[in-house]
Amino acid sequence: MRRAEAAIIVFLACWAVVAFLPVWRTVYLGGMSAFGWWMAGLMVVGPSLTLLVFRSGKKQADASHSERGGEE
Amino acid sequence: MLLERILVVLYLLGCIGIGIVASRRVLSSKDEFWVAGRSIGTTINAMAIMAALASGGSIIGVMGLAYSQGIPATLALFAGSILGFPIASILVAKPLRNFGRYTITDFLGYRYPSPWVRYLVPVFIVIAFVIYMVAQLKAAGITATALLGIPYDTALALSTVVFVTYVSFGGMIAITWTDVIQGFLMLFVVIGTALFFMWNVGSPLEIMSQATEVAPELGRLPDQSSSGYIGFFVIWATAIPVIPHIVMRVYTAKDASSAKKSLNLAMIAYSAIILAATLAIVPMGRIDFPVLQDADQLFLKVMEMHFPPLVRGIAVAAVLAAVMSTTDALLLACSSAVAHDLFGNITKGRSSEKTLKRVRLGSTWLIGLAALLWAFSPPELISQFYTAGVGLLSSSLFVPTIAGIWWKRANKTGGVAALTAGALVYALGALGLVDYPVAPVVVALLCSLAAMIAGGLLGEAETDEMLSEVEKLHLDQS
Repeated sequence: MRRAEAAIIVFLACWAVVAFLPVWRTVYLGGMSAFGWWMAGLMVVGPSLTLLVFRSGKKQADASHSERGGEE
Repeated sequence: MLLERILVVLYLLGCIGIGIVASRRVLSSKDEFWVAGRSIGTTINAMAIMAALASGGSIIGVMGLAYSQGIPATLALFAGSILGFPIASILVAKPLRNFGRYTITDFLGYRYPSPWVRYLVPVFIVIAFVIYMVAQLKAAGITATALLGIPYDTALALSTVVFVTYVSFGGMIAITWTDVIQGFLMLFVVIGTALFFMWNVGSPLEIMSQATEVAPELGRLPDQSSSGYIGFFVIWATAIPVIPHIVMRVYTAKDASSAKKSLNLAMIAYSAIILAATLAIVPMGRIDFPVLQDADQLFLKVMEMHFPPLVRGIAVAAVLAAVMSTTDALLLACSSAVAHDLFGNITKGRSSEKTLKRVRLGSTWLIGLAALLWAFSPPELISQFYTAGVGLLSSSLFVPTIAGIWWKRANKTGGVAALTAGALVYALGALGLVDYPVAPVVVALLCSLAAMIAGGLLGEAETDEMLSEVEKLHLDQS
């Protein structure tokens, strides 16, 4: 597993832990508790970050693959 | 209602047609039937994964749950899936795709070679997925009743016959083709409806502010203890990497990289649907309909009030699409659990191809009919109901799967112990026989983990041959 991938899982797990802290249940924004916005945020941040890391990993893999091809 | 009915009939006939066309191809091999010849491209697979997960529960159920339990608790349930996708993409997709078989049972049965694993896992899958299917069928029934005026029981029977027909004949290829159409239909209807409200009212923040002025409870967490919505979150976060109808999609991908990317793209589309439903459609629905007897009717009422017959017809087709795209995948996973995992293990591959086809066909129809019979007297709040069923799979399969891929000390003793402990502890809590201080799934996962560690450390270590085979699953195989 690449370091960036491990970091994503840790980051998203931390996001979830912070979101579930009791303090957010009583703070409101636009009529909805902050807990709800944390969850909505997770649904935007999670997919975006994972796709970014996947794309950068794919680029690295392709680059090293073509380098190896060049050496051969 | 004539226009809506014509649209729906055309849609259902189209699904059956796809099944018939696909059946010509799947008859050629087992690979074609169960995993579409491992030839599905990334975008198509992503749409099929999204459609398989975005069920009737995700359209009808998410709105019903948000209406009755508030939006934050509902988002907790569905955000769990979103955390589950990166776990699946990063920890599971490549090794399982490289393993290259058909089902999650294949992997667990290989990694933990015990009859206990080979027989128990398919049984858990059938139990959980029949519950899941009942919830989907209820969504189909109430949609057809509300928007087409068809009696609930007739609508149930009609949609069951349609999807069982195309699954039993067309296998994974039929499911993929129909799921892609169904996925686009769902995205179009749910996001289109949300955009319509945002165009007329304003941003989701403005819509929420207006709705919570009328109904402040919509933005609050329910009074119940936090264990309920933490449980929902954990169930889905741990289910996505192991849930059979998603795992089968990993096996259909061309290669490991395509499997990972499909999961990532599916996650984006799924998030868009859930956020559009909860942050735009539900608040508007709550303003229009302050008191609903059956909260699961919300989306249908909104469509009825705001849109003309043509759009309503498309909406019914979209809900049926959501139901069928999930139910067909569930049914194929159940059928594979019975025909491939159970029957295949009992006969140890000695039965003829003709017998296997008969078992496959028979099990598909039997499971479909069992779900249909149960759905005649359905439960309330379908999202909660099927999430409880899925919890059985998370509790029992998550730890053995992840440990089997990533922990060298994972062995047969640990795998069997983790599977059994997770299932047993969850079932005791979910059935109300034992009262845990936190959500049953959390206790079950911790017990499963403890059992895996104890078994791994105390039991006999795996052979070097097995460890080297597992090591190979992590290599890039292009």
